[in-house]
Amino acid sequence: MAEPLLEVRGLVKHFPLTRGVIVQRQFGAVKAVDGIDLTLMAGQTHGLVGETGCGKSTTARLIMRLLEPTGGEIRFAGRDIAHLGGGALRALRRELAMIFQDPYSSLNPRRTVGSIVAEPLVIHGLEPDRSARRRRVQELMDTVGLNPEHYNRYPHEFSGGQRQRIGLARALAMRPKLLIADEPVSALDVSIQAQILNLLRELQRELGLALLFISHDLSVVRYMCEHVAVMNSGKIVESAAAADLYSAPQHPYTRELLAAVPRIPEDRRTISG
Amino acid sequence: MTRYIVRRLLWGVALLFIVSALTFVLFDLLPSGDPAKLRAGRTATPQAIAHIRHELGLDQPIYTQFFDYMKGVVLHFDLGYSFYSHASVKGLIAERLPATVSLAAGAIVIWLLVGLSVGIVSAVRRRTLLDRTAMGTALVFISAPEYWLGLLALFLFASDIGKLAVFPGAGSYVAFSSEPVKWFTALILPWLVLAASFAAVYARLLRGSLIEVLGEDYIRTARAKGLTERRVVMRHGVRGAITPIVTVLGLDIGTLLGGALLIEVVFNIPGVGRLNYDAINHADFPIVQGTVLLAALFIVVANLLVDISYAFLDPRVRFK
Amino acid sequence: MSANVAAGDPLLRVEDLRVQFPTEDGLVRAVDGIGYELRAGRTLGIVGESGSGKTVSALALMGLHPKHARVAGRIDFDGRELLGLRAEQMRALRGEELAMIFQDPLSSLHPLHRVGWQLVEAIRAHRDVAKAAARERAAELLDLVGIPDPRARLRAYPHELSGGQRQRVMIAMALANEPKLLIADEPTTALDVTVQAQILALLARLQRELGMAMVLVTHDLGVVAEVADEIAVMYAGRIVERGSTEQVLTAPSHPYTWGLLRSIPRLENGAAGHGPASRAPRDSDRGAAGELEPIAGRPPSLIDPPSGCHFHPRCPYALPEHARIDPALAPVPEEPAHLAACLLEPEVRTELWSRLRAGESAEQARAAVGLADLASEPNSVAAGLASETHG
Repeated sequence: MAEPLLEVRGLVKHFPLTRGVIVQRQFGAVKAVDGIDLTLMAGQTHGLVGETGCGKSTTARLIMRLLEPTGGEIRFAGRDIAHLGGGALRALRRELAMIFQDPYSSLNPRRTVGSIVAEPLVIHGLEPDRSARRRRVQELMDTVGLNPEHYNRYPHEFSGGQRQRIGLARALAMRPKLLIADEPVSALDVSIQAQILNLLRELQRELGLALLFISHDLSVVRYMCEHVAVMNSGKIVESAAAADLYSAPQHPYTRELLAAVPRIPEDRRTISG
Repeated sequence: MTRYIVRRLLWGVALLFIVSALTFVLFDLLPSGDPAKLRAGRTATPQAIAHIRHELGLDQPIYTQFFDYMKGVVLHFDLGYSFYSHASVKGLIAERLPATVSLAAGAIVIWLLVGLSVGIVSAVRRRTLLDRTAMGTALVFISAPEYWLGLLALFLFASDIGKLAVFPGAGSYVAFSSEPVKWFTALILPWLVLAASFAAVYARLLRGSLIEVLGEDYIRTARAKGLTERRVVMRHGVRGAITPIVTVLGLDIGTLLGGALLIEVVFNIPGVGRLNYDAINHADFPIVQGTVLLAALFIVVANLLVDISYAFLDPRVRFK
Repeated sequence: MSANVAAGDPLLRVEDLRVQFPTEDGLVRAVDGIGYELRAGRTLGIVGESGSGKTVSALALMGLHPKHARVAGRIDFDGRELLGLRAEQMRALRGEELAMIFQDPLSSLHPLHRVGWQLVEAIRAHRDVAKAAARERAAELLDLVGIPDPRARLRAYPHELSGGQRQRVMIAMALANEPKLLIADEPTTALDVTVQAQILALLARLQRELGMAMVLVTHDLGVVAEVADEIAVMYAGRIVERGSTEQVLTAPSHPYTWGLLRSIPRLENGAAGHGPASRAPRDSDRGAAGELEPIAGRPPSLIDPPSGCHFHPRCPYALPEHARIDPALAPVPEEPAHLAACLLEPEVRTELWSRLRAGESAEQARAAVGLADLASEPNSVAAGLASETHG
C-alpha cells in the first residue's frame, strides 16, 4: 500500500482564553479542533463536512500551516510539518495550495489578475524570465476557463465565478500535490457552482491532485469526494467512503445531517414515447 | 470591566509620569542657558537667581529634581511656583480654570445641537441642495483658522470695534459669580466661533456615519415593521451612528479643557489657555509644566471615559 | 380597515409588475413584468439566481424598494391596490398585514437594542398597548417560535443568540401583529442545514396556525420543494415558468428550469440524478453517477438584455428565430395552472425533458428531437455560448 500523501493524527488546536489585569493568565481554551485523524492518498478526493463552528475551516488552516497546531502531528509526504518554520515552511507552500470561500475578499483588488496568478511563481523564484512567466500565467488562465487576454484586468471586473477561477489558477501555479478547497462554491449561484465543481473535478483528474474539500453542503461533497469525514465540535464523528456514508450512515449526527437536507422530488412518472 | 478600568488607570498614571518627565527633561535640555535663570524669569536679580538655584535644588542632579517635583505633585498637588508671576502654579491654574470650563461647556452645547441636527438632516436629504449647501458651509468653517474667524467675528459684531455693535468685545469676560448676564453675553461670540469649526466637523462626521448606517439591513427591517420614518432615522439610524461621535466628543472635551488657546487669546478670556500662552511668551516654565500636565490629565481621563462608554453604547464590545 | 376579499378570491394578485433603476450605465430592468396570484394559507416559492429580480420584486411588494426605483404595474392585496397608496397608508400596512423576514438575521436585527425592545416596538407600532402588555405579548411570541426561557431572552442582544434563534426572533417580530401575508427573503440561506430544517418546519406550522399566506424567495430548489405549494422560476427579471411544486420540479417545461435541476448535486444516487443511465453508481466510483450539467454562460445584463427570448444565448435548444421573438407565458397542455415562457412547442419540450431525465445530454436530446444543428448556423447561438464561458 502506498504511503499516504497526508496523514493527520490527533490534531489539536486550542485558542486560549485569558484573564488578568497586568499579567494575562489562561483559564481555559476554545477547543476548535479536538483530536482528529485524517488520511489522504495522492490523487484522492476527501471531503470534510460539518456545520458552522465544527472546526473544519480551522482544520484546513492547520493543514495549510496558516495556524500552528497545539498538538498532534501532520505528516505530508512523509515529513512532519506540524511545527515547521521559516524556509522549510515556505518550501512547503509550493506543494500545498488553498482556495477560499469568498471570491470577493480573497483577491487583492489593487492587483491585476495576471500579477495575482503570477505571485506564487515570483515568491518562489520560479520562471524568473518575465515573458515565460506571463506565458505560464496565461496558460493557467486558459486551463481554468478564463480568457488569457484578460491578463491585465482587475478583480472587480470579473464575476464571482470568474474570481473563483482566478483563485484556482493562482493555487495551481505551483503545481501542488494537494489542493485544499474551503467552501469554494458556497458564495456562488447554483449554475456557476456547477461550472466550478466540474472544473475542479476535471483538473483534479487531469493533474492527479489530491483534494481536500471542505463544505457544509452534503450534496456537493457527495458529488466531489470519494471519501468523507463528518465533523462536529472539533471532532470527527464518522469517516467513510462516500458511497457507504451516504447510503448507510452510522453515527446519529450524520443521520441527523442527512435527514435535514431538503429533497427535490424525483419525477416518478413512466417515460412515454 | 473593573479589571479593565484598573488596568487603564494604571496605564494612565504611567503616561502622565512619562509626560511630566519628558517636559521636565525638555526644559533642562533647552539651550537657553542657566536653568535657574530660566525658572526665575527674565526680570530676576542675580541674588534672586542664586536663591532660586538653591531653593529649587537646581544644583542637584536632574533625576533628584524630577523626583522632588513628582513627590510634590503626587503628595501635595503642588505644581511648583512661578517666580515671574509670584504665585503658585496650582493657584494660578485654579483661578483660570472656570473661564476655560465656561468657554468649553457653552461651545460644546452649541456645536452638538447645531452639528448633529445639520448632520442628520444632511444625511436624510442626501445630495439635495440643502445637503450640499450645508456641507459646503461646513467645509468653509473647517478650513478657516479659528483665530481668523475670531478676529472676523470681533470685527463684525464687537460692540467696541465691530461694524454692528451686537456683542461685547474682547476682554469683557467676567466670572459667572459676579455678573451672570455679562458673563453670558461676553461668551456668546467666543462660543459661536469655537463651536463653528467643531460643529462643521461633527455635522460631516454624523452625516457620513448616518448615511452608512441607513444602508444597513436592520434599517430595512425597521421600515418593514411599519415604523415612522422619523423613528427609523432617530431610534435606529442615529442610535447606530452615534458611536464615533461619542468617541470624538470625549477627546475634544478632554483637549478643550486643557485650554482653547487661540480663542482665549483673541477674545482675551482669562482661561488656562491664555495662561499657557502668556507663560510661553514669558518663558515662565513652571506654569507651562503645570498646564501641560493638566492637559495630559484631561486627555487621559477623557480617553478612558470614552472607552468605557463604549461598553454602554455597544453591547457587542467586550473588555478583556 | 381591511377590505373584504370574497372567499375564493386570491389574497394577493400581482399583475405586470415592473421595477426599474436608472443608473449611469442605463436603465436596469430588475423586474420586467411579472404576475402571479396567491391565496390565503398557501405558499408561493419564487426561485432564481442573483440578478433574477426575485428579491427586488419581494421588496416592491412591501414598498421597501429604494427611493430612486420606478415601480409600475398592479399589486392587489386583500382588495387594495398597493402601488397607488400613499406612503403613510403603506406604512400602516407594513408589520400589520404584510410582514417580511430577511436573509441574515444578524445584520437584520438592530445590534444595539435588546430583542425584547425590538419586539415591543413592532407591536406598539400598530397597536395602542401599554409597554407591560406589549412585553407580555413579546414573551408569548418568543415562546410561539420555540425559544426556550422566553422571558429571560427578552433581555438578550441579537449577538448573544445563535443564528437559528435570531431567525426565530425575526419571525416572531414579523408575526407580532398576525399579518395576512409573510414574505420571506432567503430566510434559511445563512443557517446550518439542521437549523434550516427546524426553521422551515416552524414556518410551516405557524402558517397553518395563523392561516397566513407566504411568499418564499430563494435560490434553493430544495427549500421550495419542502415548503412551497406553487413555484415561480425567475430569470432576468421575468417569470419563465410557474406552476404547482409538483409540476415545476418533476415535469418542468422550460430549458432554464431543466438547467437548474441538472446543475444541482443530489444526495441520492450521486450527482444530478439525471446522469447517463448507462453509468450506474459503483462503490469505488466517487460520488457521481454522472456529471452535473451546468448552464453555460453567465446571467444577462439587465440594462441591455438579449433580444427575443432572454434565455436564448444560454439555451442549448435555441433556434435562430428565438433571438427575434420574445415568448410570453403560456399554459402547458392539460395543465392550465402550469405556465412556461418558451418558444419551443410543448410536445417538443415534453420529449426533451423525458430524454434528459433518461440520462441523455443536452446535445443528444436536441439532436434526437430534430432541432436544427447549432454549429451550422452562422452567428449561431453556439458561438455565443462559447464566448460566454471564456469571457
